[in-house]
Amino acid sequence: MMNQKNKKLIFPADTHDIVMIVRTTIELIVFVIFVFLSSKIFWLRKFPQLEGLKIGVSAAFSFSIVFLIWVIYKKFQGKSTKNVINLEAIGDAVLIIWLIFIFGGMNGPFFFFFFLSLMETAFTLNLGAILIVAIMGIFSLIGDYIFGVTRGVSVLDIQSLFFLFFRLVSISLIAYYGYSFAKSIGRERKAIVRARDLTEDLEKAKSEIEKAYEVEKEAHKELKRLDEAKSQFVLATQHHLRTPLTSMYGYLDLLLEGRYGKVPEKIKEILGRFQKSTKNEIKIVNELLNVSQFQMGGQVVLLEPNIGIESILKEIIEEIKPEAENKGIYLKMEEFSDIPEIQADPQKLKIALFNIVDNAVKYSDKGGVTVKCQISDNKLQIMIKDTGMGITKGEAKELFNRLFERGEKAKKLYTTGRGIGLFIASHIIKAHQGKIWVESEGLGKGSTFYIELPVE
Amino acid sequence: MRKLILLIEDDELIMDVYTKALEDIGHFETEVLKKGQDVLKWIDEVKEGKRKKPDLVLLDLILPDMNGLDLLRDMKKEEEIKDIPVFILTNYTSKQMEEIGMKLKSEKYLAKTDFTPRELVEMIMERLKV
Repeated sequence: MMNQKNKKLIFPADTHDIVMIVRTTIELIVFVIFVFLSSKIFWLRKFPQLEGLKIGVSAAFSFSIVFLIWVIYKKFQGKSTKNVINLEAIGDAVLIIWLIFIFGGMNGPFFFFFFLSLMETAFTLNLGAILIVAIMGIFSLIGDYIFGVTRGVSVLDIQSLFFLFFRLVSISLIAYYGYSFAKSIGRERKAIVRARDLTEDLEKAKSEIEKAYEVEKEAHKELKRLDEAKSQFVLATQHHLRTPLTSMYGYLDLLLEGRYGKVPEKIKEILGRFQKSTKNEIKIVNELLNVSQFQMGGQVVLLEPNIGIESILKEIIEEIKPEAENKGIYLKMEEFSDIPEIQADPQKLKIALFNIVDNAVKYSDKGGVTVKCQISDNKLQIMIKDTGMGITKGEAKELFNRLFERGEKAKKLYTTGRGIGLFIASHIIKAHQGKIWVESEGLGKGSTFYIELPVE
Repeated sequence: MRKLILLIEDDELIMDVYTKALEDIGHFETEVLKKGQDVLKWIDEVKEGKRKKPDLVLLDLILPDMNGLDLLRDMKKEEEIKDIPVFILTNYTSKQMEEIGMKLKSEKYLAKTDFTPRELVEMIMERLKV
């Protein structure tokens, strides 16, 4: 902020140059005109007998004005509201006009200077201030015309030395005023140039950002395309794998129901095996599609509130019980109470828990499987304990891995196992923000699977 | 009075299985549409009163020319059709699709391979209180 004796100039350098040229030209013209005019009326001589009074009054007035100016600047030092600028401008104008008045009027340096300030005022202040300054100028001209000498000699009519001193002061004032004005213009121009440079940099930065944005958009589009391709793939595989299975399954069911006529017993048996195979195939396809959906990063679970674990576990036990009974092992659920409902995807959670219980049954040929539920540390804990073949420490770590390779004994015990049941289960549990792990005392000593799920 | 079931399905064999399952029971008669275009035409004809309104719609999602969910959306826009219960019967199991289907007010989202035709017919009988 320029807190000098000049006003804020708000034009770009180009307009500035024009202003400078114009005002200089006008000032020169005006100066020449009035020098010419004043030389014509040099014969005016007014009131020489009031010399002493004139000196006194003039001096007093001079000091008052200078004091006033000083007060104004001191009081509003640094401030730059419109009113303050107006005030300062008017103060300057008053000083200049007074100096015009006592130092040769139209002939003196301050008259030249007066137009300088008037031009400046015209460009930076409002009309009111310009009018005030102009009117004061006119009055001073009138006053000078009536009272003053217009031949380059001051109205004080003092001795040359004193006169010289005042002349020096006036020239210094002009120099200072001119210098500070020029400096302000220079500064303004520098600021404008800097602003231009900044704008250029900004433009460059903007185009860089735009370029980066374009790249980002392309990447995003590509991701979307990939995502869609994945979904298309999933969709296509689901459709193509399941469509023939649907009609196979359907026709078998209708056949076995006798909708196409009575079926001989032997055929019925064969069809029954066919149906069992088909059901198995459907199960395998479902598992495969689940795994591929996980791999594709698709949404694994859809959480619903208020899901009761008890009913899910009961269903699972009902479904697996026949197989357990066939093997001569028990499958039971310990009574539990006060198990809160949780947020879960009931279908997926059932799959996960089913896989674990199913595994427990498959890998036990004596004893049995117990399912327990409890609250521990504000988490719902489900424990599935079996008296089966157990797991080694090494296996325990890899058990939930997709590529987990079962041991020879395990393969013998459960020949049709595919090894991805636990992988799917762990994925589902993780998607529920839960934890799953297994503890076993070693081969032949059974194992306990732990599933922990958060409670709201 | 036999109930009319509209089956929107493009696979010949699957269509055969379900129509057989439904008609054998004796409570149902079936109408089949194989393409999305046919369904749109059907919607217009029902609006004009040229067709009998079905009591239930079985909708497949993967049709040769259109996505079944778009058809569901169109169906639910029409006064005469929006109150007919719709079971989505599809082989495309995806939670997102299921969510959308339910949002569009289908009553069930069923995977074909999860049910025997018999079980499906039982579900329909329960729904239509037959």
